[in-house]
Amino acid sequence: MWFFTSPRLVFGPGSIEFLASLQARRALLICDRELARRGVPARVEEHLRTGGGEVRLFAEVDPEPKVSTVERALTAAKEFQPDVIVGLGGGSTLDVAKATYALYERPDLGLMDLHPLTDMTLGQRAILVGIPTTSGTGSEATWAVVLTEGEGGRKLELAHRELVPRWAILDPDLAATMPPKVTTDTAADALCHSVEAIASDWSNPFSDAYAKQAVEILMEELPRTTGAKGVPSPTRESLHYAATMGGLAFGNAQVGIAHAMAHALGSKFPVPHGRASGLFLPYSVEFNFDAARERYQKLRSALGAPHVASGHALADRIRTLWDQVGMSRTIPQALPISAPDFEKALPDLVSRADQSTCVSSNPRVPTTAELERLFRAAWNGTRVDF
Amino acid sequence: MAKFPSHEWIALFQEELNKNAAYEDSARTWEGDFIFVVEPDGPIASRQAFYLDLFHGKCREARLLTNPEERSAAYSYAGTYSNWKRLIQGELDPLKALMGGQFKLKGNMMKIMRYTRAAKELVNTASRVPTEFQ
Ligand SMILES: [Fe+2]
Repeated sequence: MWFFTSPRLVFGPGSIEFLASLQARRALLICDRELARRGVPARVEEHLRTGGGEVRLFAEVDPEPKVSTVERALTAAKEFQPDVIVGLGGGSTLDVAKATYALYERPDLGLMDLHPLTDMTLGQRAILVGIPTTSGTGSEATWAVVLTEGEGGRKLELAHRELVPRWAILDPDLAATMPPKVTTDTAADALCHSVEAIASDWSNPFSDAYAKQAVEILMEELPRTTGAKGVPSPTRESLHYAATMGGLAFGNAQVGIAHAMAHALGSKFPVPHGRASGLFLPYSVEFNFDAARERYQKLRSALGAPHVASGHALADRIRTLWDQVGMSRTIPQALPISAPDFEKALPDLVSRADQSTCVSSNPRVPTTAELERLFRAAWNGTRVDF
Repeated sequence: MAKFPSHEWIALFQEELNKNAAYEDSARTWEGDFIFVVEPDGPIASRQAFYLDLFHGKCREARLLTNPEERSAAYSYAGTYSNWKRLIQGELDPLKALMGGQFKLKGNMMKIMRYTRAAKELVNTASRVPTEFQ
């Protein structure tokens, strides 16, 4: 017995105007500082106000959001008493909005209660709307929330089916506000979600359908993002939807060790999440391939038979794509840290990856010694042959 | 071959678990005891329970309780006899089974969520015990 959970999707250029039809009386709009600086929330507020409602902006989300950010957003929610909570931004912002929404609905719970086994039904006081402005994290479509415990602290991996937003609005015009490097990093994350979902022990026919489609789109469209004239509109739109498909895939099937390693790296060093998950993807594919050969074959139509013939072939196909779009292939390419700093951090990286919930549904469960070798391979840029 | 549930079965399970290097690696920092509860259904007419003391990658004690309410533990993991059978035969994933409601877990969730690999190894070990179902 298993489930497939999805938000109701509204999509298309200009689809944020749908917000007016929600007729919010009081809408809490959660977004990040950078987006607010660029004036993006105003475009959303306008539609929320159309129905005569009041809007309060909480624009204090930073990259790698911390527990304290949720606490501040929750204080704002308790004061304002919204009937609509909107998360507008990348994965960090949507995660903050999801956690804030849950604790606003259930003030008797704490963040630590946001795990799949808590008995909770949300949606009594407000509805949650997710509006992604990047094309990658898929957070608008998933049950997961990732927060950092404090400066340099562990990643808290929270999840509950009720955290899936009621509505996800996929307006590609908003994604056009992304800087080019963010486009690449977040699309790499979407590819990682889709490939890891296909290989996951929890994969199922419904998650496979979205994962396959997302991989096909990403492989075809990502190389078109690097032209001198910027990202063409049809490509932008396709990537935006593919990211949500990737979210629907992994949200219902789990991710794997590339994400366990990315969460560990991101908790120790300032590296964008998608750059980290994308860089680890080829190594994880090489490590997993023999344990999930048949599952990877589902990517045959998207990639072509020769590219799913072996772990190295599949990893090399991804590496070629990374080279085409300027994605990092190794840890030192992704972030400027010295070899001694990496060695010093390694025991922590291994332990944090090992204790990630993403490990157990990975088709081949690594030992701590294997995780260490995987991190070293990703540092040196060497093939995984063990 | 040992019948499930029985004294013989849990003794074999303990032996297998203490030989499992992957379990030892994944649970090397784990401290916490468990009660595995087998709820009656099918051929099992009464509730049965195992007690397991799991500490730093080893199982220090494992026994079938004479009375299922005889003692408590940091965690309890409970399911029907039929679902235990499916779990041991590898047809159920221990975590998915919790989310699907086929098993119930009580105890500190945030702590156990960091040891999902160990949970999986516990179940893998159970499927290595030559088991006879009733
Ligand atoms: Fe991700």
